[in-house]
Amino acid sequence: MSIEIQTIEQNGNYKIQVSGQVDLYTSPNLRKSLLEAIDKSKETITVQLSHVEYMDSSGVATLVEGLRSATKQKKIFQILSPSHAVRKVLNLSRLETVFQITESN
Amino acid sequence: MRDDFTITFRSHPKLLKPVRALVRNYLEAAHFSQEKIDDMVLGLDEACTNCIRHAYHGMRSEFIQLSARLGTVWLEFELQDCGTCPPKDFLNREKSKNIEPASIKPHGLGLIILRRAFDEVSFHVNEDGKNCLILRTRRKKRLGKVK
Repeated sequence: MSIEIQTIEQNGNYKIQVSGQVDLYTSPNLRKSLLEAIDKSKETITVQLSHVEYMDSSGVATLVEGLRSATKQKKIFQILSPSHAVRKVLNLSRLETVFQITESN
Repeated sequence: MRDDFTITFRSHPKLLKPVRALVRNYLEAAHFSQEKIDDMVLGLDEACTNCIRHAYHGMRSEFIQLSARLGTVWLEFELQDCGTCPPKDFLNREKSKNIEPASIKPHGLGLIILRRAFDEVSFHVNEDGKNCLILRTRRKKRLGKVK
């Protein structure tokens, strides 16, 4: 498997750290972790994508699904420090302004 | 134009990663910019993903054939599959649609990426009845005739 996903709980909120390659093969794992974390989270879900080497539209679709699920539950969904590969695919799919993106200090 | 390479691989999602690596190495050897290589690798991956998801409906034991040709002006990839033929207008479906946050759908992003990654995208069914997707990128600008 070319993806690693770590879920960290912080005061009832969840942070998901993703590294490796997110594509048709690996995105179902990310989807599962993401939707579980959204359901459990009190208020905020942060997805750290600084170590993602590659992401395709399957990965973007997973993030969109996460955003929609979080919004529906009135929770905050944010992307932290997206890598160049993530920014590239968000830009090509014209979704770079849809997500709340923050950079780590 | 002769093929530089042709590979046939199973329609299993785990094979997308080695196919991406092969295409990246090929494009690096052809001296495309890193930015353009990233775009084309992503676009080709989207085309393969579409084959697996839509032509073969997720079946993992069918076959996909990828060929690459590098001419003086154009780089061309050809992707063939024997799966379900897409609707005639599938390449134009999302062409002029602006994406608004409220109307985002998790599916259909692949075609948008595919069209933005290559200069020309076309589809036809060949004489053997196979689906053929042609992805072309202009290698360099045409130079004027030297007098």
